[in-house]
Amino acid sequence: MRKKQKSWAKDMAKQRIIRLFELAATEFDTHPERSNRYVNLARRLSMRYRVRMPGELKPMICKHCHSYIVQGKTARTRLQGSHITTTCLNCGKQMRRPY
Amino acid sequence: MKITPQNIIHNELIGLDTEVVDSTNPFLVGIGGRVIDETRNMFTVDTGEREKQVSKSGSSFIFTIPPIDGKRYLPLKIKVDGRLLLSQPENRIQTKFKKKFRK
Repeated sequence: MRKKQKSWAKDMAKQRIIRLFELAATEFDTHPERSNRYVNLARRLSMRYRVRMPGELKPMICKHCHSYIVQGKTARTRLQGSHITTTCLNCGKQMRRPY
Repeated sequence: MKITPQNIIHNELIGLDTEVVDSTNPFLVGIGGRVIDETRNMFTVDTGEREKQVSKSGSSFIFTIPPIDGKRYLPLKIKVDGRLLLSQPENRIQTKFKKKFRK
């Protein structure tokens, strides 16, 4: 049987995810590998407590290699027909979303 | 949710300033700096010159809680036994708080 989770635990997980993304943004200039690690920790938190990744943070993670994405530095964004294509420059794979 | 002394063992420790006190390894006592990584058994502390790995079990840490703007002037310091933090960072939210470890 699935264990019941408390709502404050989910709230705490969400706060920690936001905090980890702030840290990833500040560390990106000097230590890019640390920000990848922080983003991975945030992803594990959201899976463990079944918290949705906030909508503004979702496009900051590569869907394939889970690395931290900064538009223009570690990713290339192009419009293709009816969707936006983001190419991760770390793994070379593409993410598409409609617009 | 702000970091308070009550919920520090459930909260995010990466990014806080820390100082190692009372370790079983005498070479690690007195190391201070920013926590940059956390695994199940270890903290990685950036001392400014190099990155040091400190084991959680057998050490105590003094964490500096950043002041909440406008309400508190001095940063709060709290001493935490490393055995309380002994789990993976994503599993630490629901750890039970044992009073006998508190000093």
